[in-house]
Amino acid sequence: MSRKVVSLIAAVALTVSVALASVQSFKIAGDRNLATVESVTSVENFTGRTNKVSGEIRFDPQARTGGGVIIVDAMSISTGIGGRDANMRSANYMNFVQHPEIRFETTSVKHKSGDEYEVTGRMSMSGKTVTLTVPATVRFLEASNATRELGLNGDVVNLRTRFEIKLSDFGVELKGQSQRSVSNTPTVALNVFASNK
Amino acid sequence: MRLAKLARALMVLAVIVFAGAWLATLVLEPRAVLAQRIEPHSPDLAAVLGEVGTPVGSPQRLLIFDDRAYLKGATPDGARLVSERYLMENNIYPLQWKTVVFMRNAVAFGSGLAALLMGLAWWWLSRKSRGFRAGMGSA
Repeated sequence: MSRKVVSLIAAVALTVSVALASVQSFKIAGDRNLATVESVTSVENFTGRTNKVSGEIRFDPQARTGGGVIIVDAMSISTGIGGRDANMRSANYMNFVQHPEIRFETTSVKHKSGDEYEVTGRMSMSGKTVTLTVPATVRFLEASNATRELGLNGDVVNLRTRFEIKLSDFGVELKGQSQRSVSNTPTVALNVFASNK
Repeated sequence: MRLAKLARALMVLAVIVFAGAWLATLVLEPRAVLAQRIEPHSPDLAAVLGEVGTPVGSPQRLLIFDDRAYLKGATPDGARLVSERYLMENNIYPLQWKTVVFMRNAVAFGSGLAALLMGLAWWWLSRKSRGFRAGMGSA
């Protein structure tokens, strides 16, 4: 009886260690990462963008599971118009001056099909944290000339996502003229590359 | 009489501005192209990912007067591809057709209203002036 229990425990331990060993850690790096936020209104559309994205993606390409944390340098987001950028960063709107990071930390990842996933996580912005469930495409790319051109050694994970947020959920209040020229539900998009070396 | 002339001049000016706003958009509209801004990938990465580059924002009608900003190809919806890198390197902020239309409508409304008000003022001042002169004549 005790031999069976020991064997069972050993089998479970081996399975767990193999499973854990398959989850690799990929660090977001290089200068080809892109985070954008697009506001669409009847007056104008504008897109804020930055390449300053960092963080870590944990991914098991066989088990199709993982998680991670993505951090966007909010102060580097540019809409192409300096005055608008200054307003956006100020305490009157997004308050990036006091909260210079936008952070998304996963709590669960569900594989849908192929490279498509459903990711649930906590998004922190402007001093508030909101739980969101968003679609994501995650592709595993073995090291190649193409991945090395990104400035990355090792295997690479490419993560893309696109989802809407509500600025009011993050405590952002649009006042006056901005109610007509800024959308309360902008679309956030991310395209990042992370390497395991 | 002088006020009537001033009102007439302002009415004419407002009509010119009204017409000019519509004419300007007629001239610009053929140049407003449905475009998708993208950050281009290298050829190797494009082949691996199966796409020319990363989209920046959604497709929209833009006025870009520098043809070198355009890349070869289009999206499945027919939007021409525009290099975001080229736009940034050359400090080009594309004019949106949506904004041009908004401004035209605002200018047309304002100048139309001004033309109407100045027209009414001109008519009323002219009538008043004729009545005054008629009164002077009968005296």
